[in-house]
Amino acid sequence: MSTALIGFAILLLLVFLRLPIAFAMGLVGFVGFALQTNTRASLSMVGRLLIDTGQDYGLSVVPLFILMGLFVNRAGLSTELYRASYAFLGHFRGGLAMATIVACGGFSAICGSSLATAATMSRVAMPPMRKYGYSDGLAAASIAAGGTLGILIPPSVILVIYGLLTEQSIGKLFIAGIVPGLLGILFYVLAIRFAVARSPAAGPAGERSDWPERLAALRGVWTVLLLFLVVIGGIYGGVFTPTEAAGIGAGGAFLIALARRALSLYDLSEVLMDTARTTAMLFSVLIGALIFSNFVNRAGLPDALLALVTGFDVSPLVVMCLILLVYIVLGCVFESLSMLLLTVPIFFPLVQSLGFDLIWFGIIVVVVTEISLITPPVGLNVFVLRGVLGDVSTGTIFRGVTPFWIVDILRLALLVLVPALSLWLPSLMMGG
Amino acid sequence: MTARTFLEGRAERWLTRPLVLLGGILLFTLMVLTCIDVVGRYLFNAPLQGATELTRLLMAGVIFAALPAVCLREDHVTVDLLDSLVPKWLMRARQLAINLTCTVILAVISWRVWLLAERAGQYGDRTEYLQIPVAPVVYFIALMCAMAALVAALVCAYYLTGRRHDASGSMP
Repeated sequence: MSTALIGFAILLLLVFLRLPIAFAMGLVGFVGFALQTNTRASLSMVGRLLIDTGQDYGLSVVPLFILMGLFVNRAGLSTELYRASYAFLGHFRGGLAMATIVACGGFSAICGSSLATAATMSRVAMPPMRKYGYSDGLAAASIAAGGTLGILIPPSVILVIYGLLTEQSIGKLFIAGIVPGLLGILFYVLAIRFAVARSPAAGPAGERSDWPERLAALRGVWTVLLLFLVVIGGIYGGVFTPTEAAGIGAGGAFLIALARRALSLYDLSEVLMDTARTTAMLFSVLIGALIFSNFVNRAGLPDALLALVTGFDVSPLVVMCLILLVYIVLGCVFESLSMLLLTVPIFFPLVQSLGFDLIWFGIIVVVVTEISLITPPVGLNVFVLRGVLGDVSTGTIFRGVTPFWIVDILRLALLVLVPALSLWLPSLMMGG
Repeated sequence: MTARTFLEGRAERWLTRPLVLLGGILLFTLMVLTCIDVVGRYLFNAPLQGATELTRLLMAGVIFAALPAVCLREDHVTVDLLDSLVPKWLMRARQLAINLTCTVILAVISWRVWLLAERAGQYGDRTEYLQIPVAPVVYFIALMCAMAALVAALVCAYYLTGRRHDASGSMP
């Protein structure tokens, strides 16, 4: 227990000294493992882990889903998604912000990253909201909050990584994310209603679109909706494994981009190289986390934690609330991927032995991570927006985010108390 | 962003970029392969034999070919929370120390993987279905880790000579 805790403290120190997380976790994991066993065993553990993870069949979903997102992005989908949502919601008060949320939700259905979703949508959704006189706070906050949906609505890179660390079915995790993701959209829309009810000037209504216009707007997005349905429906129905679905998704997105003549050979090479670089980056942290996880398990931290918790003699739900509190506090200082990698190896054995479902815990962790993306002082989505927009202060965005943050906490409580919201859909899945 | 210096530009142009391009091409192959496999299986009842094995080999290619590029740009996931508190002169020393650490770690990894590759070569390990020898792929991983170590050492040199001052290539 104490070895693991010292190891964890050193890890935090190294990470704050800005050693890349991959190397910090790998180094601490390697040294710690060597202390538990011997240097030879630790060296061969690292070597084997590296080549095995590097050749993992199931993990090929990661680059393929990233690729799918980039292709669809090149095809100019983000603008069309926004146009379609606007056609249906624009005439409400705060309607442009609502359209932003829905478009973000749609975009995250093909893009697995919150930062990418926020960055893309800010270019698309900010100009019209400015044109209609939306307050900077509400406009930027709706993009920052909508962007957090990217890691929950499948496909989600974060859920894949969680699935790997905890050995859970990635397909089930994806399906489990659907209802909480839709719930997120609903809650955010309610938050906007509430915000404009308090200060109507923040979000005036836009023009009403008639039905021909709405149908025309839908025409721009149907191919991508179809692609999403094939990919996720295929996983749900047990027709595809996640890897096959990712391959079909990327291939389909490639054809869509090609059909729209949005893809020159140069664009194609840029997209492929971008994906390759992101993949290398993600896998290096993943391998580091697995090495660290091996050390923590070897040092018996999960058992010790369990013994400690059992000693307190409190109900599992209280323990869960404490864990979530730890996440919210950590979320104030860590970026989402780092937080997930640092905490999941430590918490999941405990959560499992307390009798919680690990698929459910995965969804809960992702929702908490989403909340951390818009929590001061380092809510990363807020900083991405600040970077893209340039002329809106961080404080303004954080103030605007407050209602979204509150409904996020409500949603978290709901998901914790009603596990069926996450687990019902995957329980109906065929195969799995 | 610091200005890309001549040497840095050359390292990117002649070493890391071609490798990333290789990774990208392998990725595209992986995508096409998966599509052919799925379409073949569900529409024509004729899956691509050994697709799983090829996927695994291609994955290794995609991941490790791009690793040197990530090291050259210092694109790793980091916690840069304290960056605004660190004085400029210390920043350079710190980045030097960090990249030195990375160099050593990558070099050790490369050495260990190389030994595994030698062993796979001696035992004549082959994939189950297609009977592709495993050793070359493992040698490739070792080689890419060595390249990454080399690049990290190069980045050390940039900091040492003052070509680079702060980690410009942090996460977007």
